[in-house]
Formats: sequence, C-alpha cells, structure tokens
Amino acid sequence: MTQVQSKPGHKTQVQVTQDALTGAITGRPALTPVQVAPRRPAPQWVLEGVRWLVPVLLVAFWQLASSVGWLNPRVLPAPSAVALAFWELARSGELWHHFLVSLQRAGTGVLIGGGLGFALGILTGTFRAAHLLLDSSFQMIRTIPNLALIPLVILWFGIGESGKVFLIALATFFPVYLNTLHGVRSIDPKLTEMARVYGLSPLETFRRVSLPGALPSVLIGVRYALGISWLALVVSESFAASSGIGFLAMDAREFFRTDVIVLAILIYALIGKAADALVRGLERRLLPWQVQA
Amino acid sequence: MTATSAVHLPDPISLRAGDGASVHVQNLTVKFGSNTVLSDLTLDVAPGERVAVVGASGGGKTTLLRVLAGLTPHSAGQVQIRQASDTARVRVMFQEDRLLPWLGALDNVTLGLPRTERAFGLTALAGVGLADRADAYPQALSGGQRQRVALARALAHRPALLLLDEPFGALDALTRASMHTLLETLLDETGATTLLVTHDLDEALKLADRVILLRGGEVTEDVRPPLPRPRDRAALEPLRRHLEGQLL
Ligand SMILES: Nc1ncnc2c1ncn2[C@@H]1O[C@H](COP(=O)(O)OP(=O)(O)OP(=O)(O)O)[C@@H](O)[C@H]1O
Ligand SMILES: [Mg+2]
Repeated sequence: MTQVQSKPGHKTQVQVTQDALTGAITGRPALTPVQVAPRRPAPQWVLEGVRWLVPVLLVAFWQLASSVGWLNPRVLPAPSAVALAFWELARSGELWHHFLVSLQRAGTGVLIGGGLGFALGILTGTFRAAHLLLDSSFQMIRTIPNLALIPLVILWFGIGESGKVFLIALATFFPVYLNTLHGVRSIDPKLTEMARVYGLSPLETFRRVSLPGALPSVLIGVRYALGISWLALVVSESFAASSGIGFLAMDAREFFRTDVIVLAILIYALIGKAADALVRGLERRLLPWQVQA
Repeated sequence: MTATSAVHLPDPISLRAGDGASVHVQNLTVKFGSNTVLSDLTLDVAPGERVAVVGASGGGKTTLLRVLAGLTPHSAGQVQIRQASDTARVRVMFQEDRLLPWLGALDNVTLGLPRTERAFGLTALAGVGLADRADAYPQALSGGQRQRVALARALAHRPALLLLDEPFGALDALTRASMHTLLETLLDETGATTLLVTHDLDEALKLADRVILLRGGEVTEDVRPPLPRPRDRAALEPLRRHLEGQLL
C-alpha cells in the first residue's frame, strides 16, 4: 500500500501488486471502505416520550383554553375539574363501587361468551359435521346489530344483571368463535399427518398440535372480544341501569355534570387499554415460541 | 452435610431396537385419478438392508414411501412389512422437517414416545450433535439443524423400518457431506431397515447397500455397489455414470 500524490493536497490510496510470473507492476486505487451496520433504533425512553408528546400537549392546551374561558364548562369541563370529580367520587367510594359492578358485568359476559365461542369454535373446526350443522346459523346471528336486540333483551331478562351480561356475552362470542375456528382450520395438515406417523392418538394430536397451533388465532379473538365487551357494556349500561360506570355517566347527564361524564369516558378508555395490555401479557406467556419481529 | 443434587445423566443407551423389518411389495399399483404413479412394482427388502431410491422428479419416490407408511392407499397389489415384534415401528423423515414450532428441539424429538422411552430423545439429539440446543425452538435453529432434529426424532423412536425422504435435500454440499458421515454412523447403530429417497447419486452410492431406480412407475435398475462401507467415491465412478445415464 503506497500513498501517491495525485493532486496537491489530495491523497489517494493505491494498491500496488507485482505479478510473480511477468514481473509487471500494476497499481489501482484502493476501494473506500463502507461501514455496513443496521441503523440503531432510538432508545426506549425517547420512543416513549414521543408517544406521549401529543396527548400531553393536547391536555395542556385544553386546560389553558378552559382557564382562559374559551371553553364553556357545560360543553367541556377543564381537565382539572375532571380530576376533581375523580377525587370526590373516589373518596366517597362511589367510583370504586360502580367500577367493580361494570368490571363484573364485563368479566362475566366475556367468560360466558368467549368460553362458548372457544368451545364451539374448536367443535366446528375439528368436526366437519358440526361445522355443517352450526356454522351458517352462527354467521346469520352474527349479522344482527346488538342495539337492535335491546327491546327484546329487556322483555326477556327485565332490567336486572342477566340482560346486560347476555348482551356482552353475545358480542364477545363471535370474535372468539370465528378466530378459534379459523385457527383450528389453518393448522398445517402436514403437521397432523406427522403426528399420526409418530404414533399420537387423535386426542393427543389435538392437545399437542391443533390446540397450540390455533392458540395465536384464539388470542387475537380474545383481544377483539375484550375490546368489544366494553362497547357492549356502554350500550347495556345506558338503559335501565342503577349502577356501573355507564350509569354514572347517564346519571351525571341529568345534572349537567360534564366533568363526571368525561371522567366516565376516560375510565372506559383506560380499561380498554388495560385489557389490551392483559392480552399482550397472555400472548407473551402462552406463545414464547413466536419470535416478535 | 451437603445434600446430593439429583442430576440424572442419560445412561449410555443404544438406539438399537433389535432387528429391522423386512419389506415385501408385490405388483403394487398406485393411481391418483387417471394418473398411474406406480405400476406393478415389486420390491423385497431384507431386514437391516439399506436401499436408496432414485428417480426423476415426480417419479413416485415419495408415493412409495407414503404407501409403506400407510399414508397413501394403493389401488392394487400387496404391501407387507414383517417385523420381529408387534411393537416395532415405521417412522418417516419427511421431505420437509415438520417440526412443531411451539416445542423445543428435545420436546419435538420425544413427541409420541412413551414415557419409558423418553431418554432416547436426548441420546438421539446428542447423536446428531445438538444436545446443547435441546431447548431451542425450531425458529431459532438453522435449516440444517432443523433437519438434524427431524432425523433425531425419527431415530429416537428406534424404528424397525426407517423411511427417509430426501433428508438432506435442502442442505448445502458441505453440510450434506458431513450429514452423510453422521447418518452412516447412526444407521450402523440403529440397525433399522432403511429406505432412503434421494436425488443425489453420490449419496445413494455412498450410503446404501442397494440402489433402485424408479422409472415409469417401475423398478428399472437394482444394483449393489460392490464395495464395503465406508466407500471411496472414486471407485464408484463407473456405476455412478451408468445410473446417471439411466436417470436422463
Ligand atoms: N395426493 C396426490 N394427489 C394427486 N397426485 C399426486 C398426489 N401425490 C402425488 N401425486 C402425483 O404423483 C406423482 C409422483 O409424486 P411423488 O411425490 O411420489 O414424486 P417424487 O418422485 O417424490 O418426486 P420429487 O423427487 O419431486 O419429490 C406426481 O406426478 C404427483 O403429481
Ligand atoms: Mg418426493
């Protein structure tokens, strides 16, 4: 390797080689090395910070607009007023009570609807006859909007808990059912064939091949179901209820307590977030073999 | 006093399960609709024999193995697998690895093994040189490593009849060569009757007692490389040329 002065002030690296046979000397400019490295992503705290930037700015602006008087509190209360409403309701224990009632309704509905959806999805996914017999009926029921059922639900169940749980169960049944069915059906038949060759009984094949293979899809269904359960909860608590977060909001409307209404909406949003985190946690626990890209 | 920790090291157990099965195929015909894939095929394989099956793509090699494994029904003829005990097994290593993505390597290998035979899993996995990757999920393994796990799975069951469908089809030449040596050692140990489907004539001539060529749904060549194993590649060149001519 020699340095050659080609232009004044400009050094070019030249590789000089001598041919062993002919003795000819050749030189060519060395290639500039290029660093090959994947771009490093920004550190976690920076990403987190960016994610929260817009919401924080929005709330700050909202507070400012209320304090200066641009916003009528009858239309939209200040964030501080919402915080105050939270504090009052939390201290009296009222908030906690309504929250638990809502949670119980949603939980029961999801367990019943999701459980049935899972069981029937496995059934129709595994057995052709069951699929033939049941699937088209389910698909038909699926097209009925929840809201259309409310008058009927009141007639059937009265205004007690069971009508609300029914609505939630109905809404959560379909996402779990459909995704379970899809999960079972999309198992690679080559894997079930392998299981047969390696001596697994049909039951063992189900337990060790079909079930774990369908699980990612089932969990997608559960995630949808949890999301939709809060939607169904809002619907079911907005009529003939005397407790629950939805009731809190409806009751506050009568007294023009916009702060409580906004609080209720916020709680719904937070619970939705929490449900999502729950499913993500479940996925990490139950699907350790799925490498997150 | 220190408590003795209960560490169970696998005993040096052999993968040999007794004598291999013998295979008797007579006038076998397999049709898919109007497409006759195997026609009037007759083949006898002695216990412990290693037979390489070569032939053009689509020539019915996989179909023959699938019939022997009881996965594809045949239209006519007889297929018999005679084995010393009725617990003797037929195991297939498929053209694809067919590992379960949700099980670690060792759990994949012991899949379907009775509790009393689980220990063979680790022996087989060690046999293919992957004892240290026992917990790795298939996704975390290279293509060659996955093939080795699939081979270990077949061997851990100590089959009386081992059906290998292009076991190293997806591997590069270098890994392939090392897998040949490995397979030869492992087959020597198990003593299983083996049918090995391959596109690679070198592989066939190096590993098998017999090489059969499938053509037009029949066995058109049935040769025994006239050398003891391990075999020298150069000495087999004439036979290789002859078979290559038949393949085209
Ligand atoms: N399930 C099936 N249904 C219909 N035709 C089939 C089926 N399986 C195989 N065949 C046909 O049988 C013929 C032989 O297939 P086979 O898989 O046995 O070939 P092969 O010798 O293993 O080929 P390759 O070397 O490419 O693996 C092909 O023409 C294929 O299209
Ligand atoms: Mg094939």
